[in-house]
Amino acid sequence: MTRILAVILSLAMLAAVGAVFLHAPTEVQMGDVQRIFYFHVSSALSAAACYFLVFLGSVLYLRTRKDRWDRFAGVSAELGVLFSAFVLFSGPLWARPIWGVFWRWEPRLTTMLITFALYVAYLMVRSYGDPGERTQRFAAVVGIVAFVNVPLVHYSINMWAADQQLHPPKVELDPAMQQTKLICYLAFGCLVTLLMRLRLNQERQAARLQALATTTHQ
Amino acid sequence: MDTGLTYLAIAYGGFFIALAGYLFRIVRRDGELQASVDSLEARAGDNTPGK
Amino acid sequence: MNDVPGIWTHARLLLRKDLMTEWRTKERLSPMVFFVLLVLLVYNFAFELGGAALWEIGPGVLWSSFVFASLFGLQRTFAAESTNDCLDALLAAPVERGALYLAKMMGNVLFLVGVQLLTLPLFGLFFNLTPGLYLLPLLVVFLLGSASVASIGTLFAAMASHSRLREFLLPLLVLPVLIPALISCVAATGFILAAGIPGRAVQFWPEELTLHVGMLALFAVVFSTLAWMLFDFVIEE
Repeated sequence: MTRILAVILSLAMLAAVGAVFLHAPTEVQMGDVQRIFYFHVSSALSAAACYFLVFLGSVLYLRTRKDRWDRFAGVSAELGVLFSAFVLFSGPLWARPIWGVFWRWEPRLTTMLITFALYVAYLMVRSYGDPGERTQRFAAVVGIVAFVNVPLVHYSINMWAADQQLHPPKVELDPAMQQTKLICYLAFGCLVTLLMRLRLNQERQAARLQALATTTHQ
Repeated sequence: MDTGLTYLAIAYGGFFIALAGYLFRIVRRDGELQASVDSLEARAGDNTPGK
Repeated sequence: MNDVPGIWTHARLLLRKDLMTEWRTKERLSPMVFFVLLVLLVYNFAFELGGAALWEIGPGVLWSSFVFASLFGLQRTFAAESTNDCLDALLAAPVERGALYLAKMMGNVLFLVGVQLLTLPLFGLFFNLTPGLYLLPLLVVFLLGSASVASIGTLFAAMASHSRLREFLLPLLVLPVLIPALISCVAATGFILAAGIPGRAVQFWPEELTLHVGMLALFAVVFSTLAWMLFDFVIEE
């Protein structure tokens, strides 16, 4: 199953990169640098999806107390943070040639930064807690609080920095651009699926190993 | 727009380097886990019934 | 529903205990007030305070010092219960966990508002604030701001002692979650203080205030409710 996914992903990624550089037309005002948009936006969407999965895993863990949901939440958070990091990395790279600055405290970037900080804190609760059921519980609680906070952050940052908005609210995309965007979304969907599968299997394996190791030492 | 292309290259290059690095880490840890499993199995096999 | 009056009665009793302890020892309020004074001092040397800058950075200075002081105060939320297995005793007693959260949260709100009221004159002194009735809406902002901080702070404070991060855990969790509330606190305070600028027509309730007060109320309600529901999971052994 994993092999099939890996093959599908490779093809999807190839298609995505091809679309980004060959199929999508050069944007009139911004030039080629605008092509960052495709992976930038796909990453943001992937991060958001992962954060929702953290919420889901956290709630399910507290209800069922099954380890698998704790692992699910943890892996989702890890991926979410990585995708967010790429958004924060690619955003300034796009901004610099266009708007002349690497960073502006504008709504979307700031919201992404705060959300990033939230889930980094979540990961810290996981890694700095003594391994065991209590840390799992705490992580789940933090996972729920973090997700509930996200819409509030979004709303209040938009209120705070409305004048700083660098992202245009609604963009009319050329059909070829629309297609490229969709292809990238699909490719990232495959990416998230494969990475989650790989990591979840790994964590499950590690947990089984841990259980085995403790019983063997009796 | 020359500088634009540089930034574009850094962005996409960075993405794929990071992805490759992440996948490499997964594979390496899988290897470590497998090694631990193997050593545990070997140790279990060493246990004589009379212990 | 026999539980509902029960939970508030228990919460009130626990709160009374905490307040009486504090009244006798003053071990939370005094250090917090003194800390705010010190932070204001540091800010004076870190930034150009006074003059026109007051209106721009005054609210930020005020609220950041409150937030930092509150982080200290929050750490101590469960300090009394940590010795002599008091917490276990409380949990074993027929008291709903929610009552403990309510009591601790309300206690924190009272402590935070207390600190804010005690340090506002200091702030006014350093910043040459003209006293006047226009400052009254600040009470609302103080109350709702403190409620926002206390709502999540109390929840996370219960977690802090069980992590290798210890006292780092609370700030790392509270600060990012608090940002929406902080934005509204600072903005609201700014609008209120601006009403006192000499020469300006005095507005008792600047209209921009409603939006931010609404945000704070929303934040406080949402997170108190959420924290109250999740508290059980944090406090069980």
